Amino acid sequence: MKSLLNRFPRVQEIIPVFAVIVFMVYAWSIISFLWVLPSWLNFMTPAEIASGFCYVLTLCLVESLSFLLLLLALCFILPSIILKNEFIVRGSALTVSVLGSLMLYFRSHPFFAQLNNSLYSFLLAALFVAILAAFLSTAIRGLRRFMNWISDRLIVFLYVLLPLTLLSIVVIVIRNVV
Amino acid sequence: MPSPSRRDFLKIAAVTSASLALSRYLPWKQPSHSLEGSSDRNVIILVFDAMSARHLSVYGYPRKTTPNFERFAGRANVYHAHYSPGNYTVPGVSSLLTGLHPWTHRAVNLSGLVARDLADRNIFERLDARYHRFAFSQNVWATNILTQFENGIDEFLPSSAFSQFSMVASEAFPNDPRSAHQAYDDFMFDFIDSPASLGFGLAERFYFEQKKKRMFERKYPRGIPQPRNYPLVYKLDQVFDGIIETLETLEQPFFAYIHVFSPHAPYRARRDFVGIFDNGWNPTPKPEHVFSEGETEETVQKNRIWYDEYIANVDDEFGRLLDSLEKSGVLGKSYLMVTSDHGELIERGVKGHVTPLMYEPLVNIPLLVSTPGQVEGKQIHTPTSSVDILPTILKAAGHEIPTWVEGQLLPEFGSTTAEDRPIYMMDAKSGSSFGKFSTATFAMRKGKYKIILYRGYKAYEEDAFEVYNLENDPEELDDLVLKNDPVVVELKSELLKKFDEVNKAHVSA
Repeated sequence: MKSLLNRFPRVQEIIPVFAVIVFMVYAWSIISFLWVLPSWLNFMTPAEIASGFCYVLTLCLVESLSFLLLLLALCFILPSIILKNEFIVRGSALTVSVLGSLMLYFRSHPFFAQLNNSLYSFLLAALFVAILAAFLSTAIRGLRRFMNWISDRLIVFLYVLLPLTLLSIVVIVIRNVV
Repeated sequence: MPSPSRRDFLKIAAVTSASLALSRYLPWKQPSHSLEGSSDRNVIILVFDAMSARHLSVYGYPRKTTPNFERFAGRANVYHAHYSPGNYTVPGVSSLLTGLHPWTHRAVNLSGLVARDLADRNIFERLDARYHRFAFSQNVWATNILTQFENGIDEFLPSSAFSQFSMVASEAFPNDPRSAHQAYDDFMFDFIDSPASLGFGLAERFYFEQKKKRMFERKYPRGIPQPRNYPLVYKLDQVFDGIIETLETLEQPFFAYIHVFSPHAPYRARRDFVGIFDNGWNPTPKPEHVFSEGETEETVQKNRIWYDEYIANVDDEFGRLLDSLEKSGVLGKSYLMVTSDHGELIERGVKGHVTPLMYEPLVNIPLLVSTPGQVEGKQIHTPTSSVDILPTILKAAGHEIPTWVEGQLLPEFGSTTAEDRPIYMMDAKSGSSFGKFSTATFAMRKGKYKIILYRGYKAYEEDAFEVYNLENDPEELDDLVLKNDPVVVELKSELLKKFDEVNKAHVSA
């Protein structure tokens, strides 16, 4: 059991990477929310909008946890030297490059009504960039320092976003069960 | 004959007053003030999404698309000049269910809703609780509008009812559908714009497409029918099986609003309807418009055939429903209204209805109404609008018509409507819902004429108009504005006057 647990990074290493994931996932959704808010104000009550925001935050948490689980699964599967031993730096680099690529794609394709070959090519390219970024982040000293620094700084968002999300979950439960 | 004494007079007065006072408690029914003498009839509104009257053989279309509609027309009132007040679902459905024009209810944006302060003005809440009020829409946008009226709905099925497969996320939250819909179906998992969920938005799309591929069936060579903007697939025959079973088991009297997504794009007819119109007939060629989408003539003609085949498929299912209603006796006890929320334009370099255009195929929609016991068909050519449906139903149900209603009774239902009553249509999906309409198309049908105003579009430097004489020119090819026809000045003046009157920012009621 202990040897199995040894295949995962320590909690102190997981938290900064989770902070990066949370920051990117929540930022994309919250900025998109602010973009649609003026139109929602026209046909929804403030209570409905607030509860809509609760649904958004809740899904963001599930999405962030899913992405983290994916990274942890990679740690478990791959040799330690590839990801686990450098989890903060490489995990953060993978997060930034994968989620950043998706943001870039969505920004440049605002109407993505159909999955097409351009998306598949883009995803392949994004995967290549992510792997490259993960290795470069440990090879280039400046990049390593930056990844450590940014992942540490972003932890502050966990103190804000996670309690807010827990409150959102309570709101959703009340609206659907009570 | 002796004159009655004072005592006789008092006796008669006392008996009369008591009778009047007690009459409502007596076991026999009062004469109803409904149209057909009974207020306990069922009312069924059957809406086929994006069904243009201009593609139905019951209205004279050369392709035999609707033999079952024609059969129904033999016992129904057929409205030939019926119009949707909008050219897509949101304004069309909202006007039908509220009896209000789009400039009043303000559901004018894609996935928009009726203004909050007007949401209690709807057919469900106006019908009394004697009716079992039922609603089902496969169109998720219409379902979202219906959630605004849920206080008046006794039984409300989700969009995915009778479907093969659905990933409409908000249906997991039946107690809070509107917030969940806005947050998930129209935002985090948006199928049209970029999803607000980075990973799940994309993952959902992948999963849905893979699942759909595995569901491919020979029976549907162009794919299984589905709405374009939500992850849901269905087989039309199974949907109609569900509708038939539901209508047979609803507690009577009932009011049922049923909104079938077909024949909305993508046009996916069943195999036995594929190829039935490959007989070489082609519609009148029409010039491209400044708002054309650049579709080639070949694409347009191909899509037109696919759309017509899909309509024939829908008509076949409608025939099954009609047979079932007749067999169960429900039809004889019901008002059955068959209509659409808007039309479809497959010409002039355009295919679909997300366009500022307002040509007849986009707004001229079917309306066939059979009353309980009706055995003969009637052809009605007076222009009518979807805003007329609510007052007509209320009258049929023996209810008072509220003063806020903007429609009138339909002809044959007690209307004294003049032939030249103006019928209005508008599109303002690209602007603010609640401010003044700065970019909009506004149209009016009056008598045999139709005038269209395009305002605020970049394609035009100033207000642009088109005027057609629909009697002589039903295909809208001969623009009277270009001919300086004297009627244009009068129509322009009337349309602008009306537009100025209604084009105000929304003020809460």
